[in-house]
Amino acid sequence: MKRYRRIETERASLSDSEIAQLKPSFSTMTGRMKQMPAITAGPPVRYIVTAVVGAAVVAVLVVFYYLFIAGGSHINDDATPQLAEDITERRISPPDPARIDYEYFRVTSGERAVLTTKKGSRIMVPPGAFTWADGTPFTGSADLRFAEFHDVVEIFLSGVPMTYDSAGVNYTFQSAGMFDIMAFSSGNSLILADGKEITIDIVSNDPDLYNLYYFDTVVNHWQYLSTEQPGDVVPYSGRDDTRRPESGQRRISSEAAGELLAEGGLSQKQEPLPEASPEKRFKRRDSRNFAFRIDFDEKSFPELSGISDLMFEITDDSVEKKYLRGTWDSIALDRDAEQGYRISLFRLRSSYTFNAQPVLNAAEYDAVVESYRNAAAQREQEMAERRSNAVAQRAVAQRMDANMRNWAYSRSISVVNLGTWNLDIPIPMPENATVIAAVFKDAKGKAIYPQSVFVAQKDVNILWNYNPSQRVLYSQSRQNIMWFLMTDGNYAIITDTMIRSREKTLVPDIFDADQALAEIRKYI
Amino acid sequence: METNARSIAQSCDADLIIKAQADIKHFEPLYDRYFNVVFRFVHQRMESSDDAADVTSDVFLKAMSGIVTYKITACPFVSWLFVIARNEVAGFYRRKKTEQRYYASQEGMERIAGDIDYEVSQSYFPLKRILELLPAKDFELIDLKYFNSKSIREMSEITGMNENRIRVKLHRIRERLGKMIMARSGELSSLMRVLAVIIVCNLIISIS
Repeated sequence: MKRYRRIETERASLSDSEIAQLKPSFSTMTGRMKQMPAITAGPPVRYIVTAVVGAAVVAVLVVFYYLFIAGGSHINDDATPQLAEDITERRISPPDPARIDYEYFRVTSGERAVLTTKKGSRIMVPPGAFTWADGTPFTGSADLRFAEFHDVVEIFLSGVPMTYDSAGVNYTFQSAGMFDIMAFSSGNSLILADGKEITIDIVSNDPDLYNLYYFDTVVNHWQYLSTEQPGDVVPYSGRDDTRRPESGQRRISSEAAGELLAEGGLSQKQEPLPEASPEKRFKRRDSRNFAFRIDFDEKSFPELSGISDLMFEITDDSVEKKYLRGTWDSIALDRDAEQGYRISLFRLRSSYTFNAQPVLNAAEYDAVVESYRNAAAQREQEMAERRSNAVAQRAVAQRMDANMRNWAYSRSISVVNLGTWNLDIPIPMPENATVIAAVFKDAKGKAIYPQSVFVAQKDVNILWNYNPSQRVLYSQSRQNIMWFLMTDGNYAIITDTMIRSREKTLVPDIFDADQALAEIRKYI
Repeated sequence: METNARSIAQSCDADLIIKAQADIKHFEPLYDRYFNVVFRFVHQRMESSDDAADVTSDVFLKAMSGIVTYKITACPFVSWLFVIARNEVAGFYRRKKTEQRYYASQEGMERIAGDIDYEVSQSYFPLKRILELLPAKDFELIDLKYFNSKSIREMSEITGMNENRIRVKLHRIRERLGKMIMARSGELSSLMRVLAVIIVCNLIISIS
């Protein structure tokens, strides 16, 4: 048997830097080119040579085929089956848009904003960051929508394709974190102004340096921008108070989450309640008692102000009536320690002081009491709301603390476009990949033909995605989980055990979305 | 289905090609863009990195010399480079009159093994041996498909073959490989059985 070539499998490929050392400079190439004769024979000559060689190979092949392969079949081009070509359609199409955890912020156009997300990532928006889509300047308040995707489940729910072509080689992204950032005003899109950048410190648990890509929705393809430098990835310092939203930024609460971060609610100055209720301060006037009116400064006694017919009765039994006769030069009103009032009379070198109580006629008394009770009830309601808000704030802060505690690193990215950005390493295929050669059937034995199959492995942040014409691969050295969406919105999950059984027919477990996503999270 | 990215890349190449046809200095971006990918393609087929670099340089020299006659079509420029590269590699081995070498990636071997239902946990030796016996045209399709992850369209552009014909040939080659590997495994099993019988007979003789 003739051997046409010798195949080796034990050689590592060269790195780009190693290739660069072997690569001649372009000037060397142009120098050599000038020494070459001009090309006059074109491709047809080569095709003729190739055809002759090919014919010889075919002849050898025919001999080899009849010598070693029994029952060879005749090639009949007319009976060719139409096999599907590999298709990689790249568009953002979330499987369930409602499950994307968007956060909303409001920023004022002329002010710098520092925003902190629920997961602890930070967004720094410079003043004048936005313009309208046609480039006209934007003023006012902008609504910023932000979502970040860290694990395989979140990436899956984002619907963002993770495939990437480079020089004819298909890759899938291993992600260190992805985010989507958009800005709107009154429902209209905004864009970043020329020369403006938004800096995002995105949380991460991966210390390696990744490439930065931007998803170009015009061509529906990832565009490589740059590679992270060592200083771009730093230990996460989420407990720093400066990472809280600055005053002036307002988080718009998400209705789905039902959270409220009321800015400034607890710090608003409240009007103090009167120290005593009207029943203690005032008394219904008794016409049998001696009562008198005095002039006083209402600003000094606001609790007595606004009452049309305020009089005082003496509450001190020891008062001698002789002191109430005659003319006094001046009268002073004071509060005493027991929340009553003291009236002092002055004449030349003498004075006389006694306790008194404000008294009101019946109608006035009832009105004051009613007003006080209403104010007290409203105050109690406000206090209850503030207590509830404080509880909610503490819960959110605790959740933020818990989220922040999960992250080891923070990676700083400056973006000049709104949209979807990703930190990735392109991976050519799963390590130790093996083809899953099986058909899917439901519990009743009916065949299932999924349009898109997803595979993930434990501890690797890669979401593999296969179309019907592609071979589905799994990793032999890692725990795998495979899933696809059914037409009824449920998920079909194939576990690692099922995959490794190498059965020709696989009957997946069917879950609703919540259960399925929880199952996938358990695996990854 | 052609992606828009491919169109964008082609239109970028087309601009440079037009300029390079007028002034060769504009070929440099194309040289920088595609040198590595062509080198890797050639290096797969060469034992020595230096030989691979020489052949790759020859590929680009041919491309630079022939750029004035190159017609911008739907076929990407890089596919044209691969056509030149496979011819240069063939010419290299014709001149050297040595056995052709091919350095197959493990991933590619696993992909083939998966497609022909060959158990990867076994040795690659039978699969390697069968691939070595494949004629050049058949092996080229296997090489482009499994070791270079080319699409059917790209394979058509490089080989000049019709896309449907490529699909059929791949299908038939896979079937043939599957049968050959089974036959080979059978041969090995038979050989093992023969050896086992010989050993047992010798033992019986020695005991008696």
